[in-house]
Amino acid sequence: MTGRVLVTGVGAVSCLGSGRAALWHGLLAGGGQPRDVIDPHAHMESALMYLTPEVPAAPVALAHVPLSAGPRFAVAAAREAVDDAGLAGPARAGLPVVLGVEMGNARMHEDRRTGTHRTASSDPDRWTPMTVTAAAVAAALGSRETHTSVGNACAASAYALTVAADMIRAGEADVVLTGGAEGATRVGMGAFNRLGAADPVRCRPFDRGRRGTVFGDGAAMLVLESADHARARGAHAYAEVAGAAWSCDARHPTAPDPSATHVIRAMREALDAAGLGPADVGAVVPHGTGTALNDVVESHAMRAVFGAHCDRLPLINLKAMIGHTAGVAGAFGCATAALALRAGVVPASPRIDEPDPECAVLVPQDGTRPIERPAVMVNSYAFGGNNACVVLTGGAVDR
Amino acid sequence: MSAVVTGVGMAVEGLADPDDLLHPLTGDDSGFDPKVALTGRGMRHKDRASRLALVAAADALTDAGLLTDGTYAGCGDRTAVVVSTNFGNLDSVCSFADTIAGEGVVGLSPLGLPHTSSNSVAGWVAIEHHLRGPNLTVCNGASSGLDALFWAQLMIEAGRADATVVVGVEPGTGAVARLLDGARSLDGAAAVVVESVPHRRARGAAPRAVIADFRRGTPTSATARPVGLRMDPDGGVDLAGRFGECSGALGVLQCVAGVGYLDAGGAGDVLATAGRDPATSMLLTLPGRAS
Amino acid sequence: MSALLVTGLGVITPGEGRPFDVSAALPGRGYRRLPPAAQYLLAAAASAVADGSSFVAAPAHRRGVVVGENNAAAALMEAQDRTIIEAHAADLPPLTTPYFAASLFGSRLAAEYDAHAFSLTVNSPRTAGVESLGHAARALAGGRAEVVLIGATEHTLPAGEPGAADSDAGAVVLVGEPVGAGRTGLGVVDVRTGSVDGFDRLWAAAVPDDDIAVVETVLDDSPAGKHVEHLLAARCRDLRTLPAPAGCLTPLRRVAHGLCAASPDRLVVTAAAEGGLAITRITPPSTESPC
Repeated sequence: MTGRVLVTGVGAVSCLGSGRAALWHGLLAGGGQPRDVIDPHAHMESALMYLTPEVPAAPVALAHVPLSAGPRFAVAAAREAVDDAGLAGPARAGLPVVLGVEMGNARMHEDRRTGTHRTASSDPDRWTPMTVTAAAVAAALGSRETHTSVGNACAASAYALTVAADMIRAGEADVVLTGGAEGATRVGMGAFNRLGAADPVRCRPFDRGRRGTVFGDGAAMLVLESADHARARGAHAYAEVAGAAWSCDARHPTAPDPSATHVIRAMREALDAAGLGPADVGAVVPHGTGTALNDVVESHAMRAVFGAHCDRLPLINLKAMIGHTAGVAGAFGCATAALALRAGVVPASPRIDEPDPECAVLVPQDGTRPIERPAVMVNSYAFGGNNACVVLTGGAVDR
Repeated sequence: MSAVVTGVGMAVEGLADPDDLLHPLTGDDSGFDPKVALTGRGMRHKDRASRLALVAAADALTDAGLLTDGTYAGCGDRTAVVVSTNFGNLDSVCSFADTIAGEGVVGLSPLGLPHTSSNSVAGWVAIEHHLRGPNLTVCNGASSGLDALFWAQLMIEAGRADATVVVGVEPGTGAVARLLDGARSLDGAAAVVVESVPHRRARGAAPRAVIADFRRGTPTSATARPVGLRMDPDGGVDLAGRFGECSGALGVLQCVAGVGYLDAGGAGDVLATAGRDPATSMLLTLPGRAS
Repeated sequence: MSALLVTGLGVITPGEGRPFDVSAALPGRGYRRLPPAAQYLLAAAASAVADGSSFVAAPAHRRGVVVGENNAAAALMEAQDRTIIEAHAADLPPLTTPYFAASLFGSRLAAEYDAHAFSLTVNSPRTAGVESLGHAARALAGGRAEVVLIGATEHTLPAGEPGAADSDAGAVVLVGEPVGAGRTGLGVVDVRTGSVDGFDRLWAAAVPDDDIAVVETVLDDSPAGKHVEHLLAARCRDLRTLPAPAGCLTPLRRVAHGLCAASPDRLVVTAAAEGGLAITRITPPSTESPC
């Protein structure tokens, strides 16, 4: 596979507000705060989440399927991304949609169980699949092309973005919309509580006192486009998807392989695919969830890949600012990397009470820092040891 | 921590998976059947505790990837055996005593004499797999099984062995029933392979769990993770309540159950407690960076 | 680019004849308490890998997994939600709790066969099973793996959920490799995905000469399903229609069946009420049945 893949549009809905501008300015201002999900049925120790200010009013349904918050966030962010990329009607009809979606429309099913859903199915006997988000986006944009839903749990949208980039490199498409979207779900929060992985305070990656992650909802979308196609229509680019790689621990259901062997391999293969070395990386958006083991293993892996460069390599502590957005996390990481590359700076992390000495990484808390190297790396991992690594470079980098 | 658990095994009637220790049986017939498994050539001339121990030990060594076609794949000279049993060969000893009482010493068979030695179970395990490292029998009451795991770990850390097979076994013999006044008791064995980290790494075996803490009196959690599985007569899962008096096998059974729990993605750490005043406790965690 | 060679095949259809016997299908430990969709997937993979031994011959870091599912975790999530609603999240059974993340089905398969290249999960309604073939083909072409286990797994929807009555249950797993090098295997499959609104373009790509002997459809009676059936009726001589149950398994099952059928090229066409469309072309290695 050959050819360069650019990011020519970005859209986002997060706890920091609606739109990519709200995301970027919110990150520069230190990120958001979690609050309790209002759900009288959510019997669990902690129901904290980084929640979007409001759920879009539309679309209410796709075919017979009533849509909950997740797919609605998706449609809002997708519209912003394709507008940003300057894709109008005919271009939208030919736009494949490849999203990463873990829980999708699960909230509609949960609301049905408690009798609280507002929209009735127009065909109540017909199966209502859970992951209809990509289909809802395709319908909303008028796409007549393929729409695919990738389900790699908390790494789903990083896998989806890699698939989208591979489609462009393979010549299957010139432009692909990729990203992810998730709403709050009782089952997701409850399971993390049961797994002892829900921090009741806030999301505190790389903090010695961290007690797990805190979920966030929202959507992040990126328009990927071949460099030739973008040049021909004069589209601007935020960044280039220079390389991406996958690996699988193939070991434990929930715990990362403590040796980090395959996480390290994914990082190195992504750099190789980008034709870059560790010294070319100027910032990393880590997976950094705030769970005890992830942050230690990931820090070790970064140390192994970057060596002493780690001491000067700033991390963008994204989950401390918008929570762990589950299936969207990888797309938020890539969208943030693209915005950071365009701005040339790394937003500062919220305060870390006590840095974990087992996490020998640089998490700047004292104002923005310039990105001094051409590339930003994004890590995204999921249960079952599903690892993905994406390397983005500044739009103007000549390789 | 330089020692790590790399294999677990069992010989308890009806049970197949370590998960079976924590859940009702699934109702299929894939579990251990002593009527079949404790017979055959290799089992002849051995007491019940030794037979149960041999089955559990082979199961654990297989699970650890240390048995190839029935042959021990590690270095026998560097492999230790620790057996925990309180009633072990009580039946052999009682039968010897009965013979002496009835017929005098002339009635004794010299061939049976080794069976009256309290370390005979550990001996058979060593002989079966040619394990020529330290060989230890722990007969220490309620805490015996956990103590055996502690000693296994200590032997690894002291460099006396690269791997240790720990067996906890109690036989359901008539002699034990008489001693316990008919109280329900376990007839079975559990086994755990504890291995040094360099040895594990050299052969590429997966680390399954780490004995993160061991102490008299209830331990405090040694990690940031909360305890997800408690095995304690006063709370959580009570193996003795289910299987009867587990005595010297209890701690090793708890370890097998805990490893099964962690293998399957169970949340948090595992805390096993045996005995009272003082209680003995062991904290089992998922392997970390150093394991 | 979208085609791949199938060299192994395994199909599990529970409830046909007698209930699925996990101990018989998956001997050994650690299987009996997995969610049913994980058991089906592992059992189907065992036959597929026995067929297509090239999978385990490839280096571990070059083996990939792609799994499609829609309802694999639906019943589990329903039970988890009911526990949270009626009791407390602390009461969730620990061993199955992580499986709310549906990526675990593929990850469990990857762990079973040391597939370290990647584990990709696809969950597009109805089309995910056949879509997994296309993702595998692209990953092979892009050098992300040398050989891929490709599958779909589903478990019956919880009672009371729309579509539960006849929902998909079971699994299909295929071993997929790049086309070429003169090898024939069980045949070549070539999947193209699109949307119901873009049917014409997809049809032209899948059937460039507008001539195909056999077309099987897996469609429901939604407006989208009826529309596709109508379009096909005008184009096909031999149109065989099957009702589409809830799930993504049946279309891949028909592809597996097509690989076993002694016939010239055939198509399996499926569409989702939500708008997804997939056309799979199956080219047998010769006129003789490979199965």
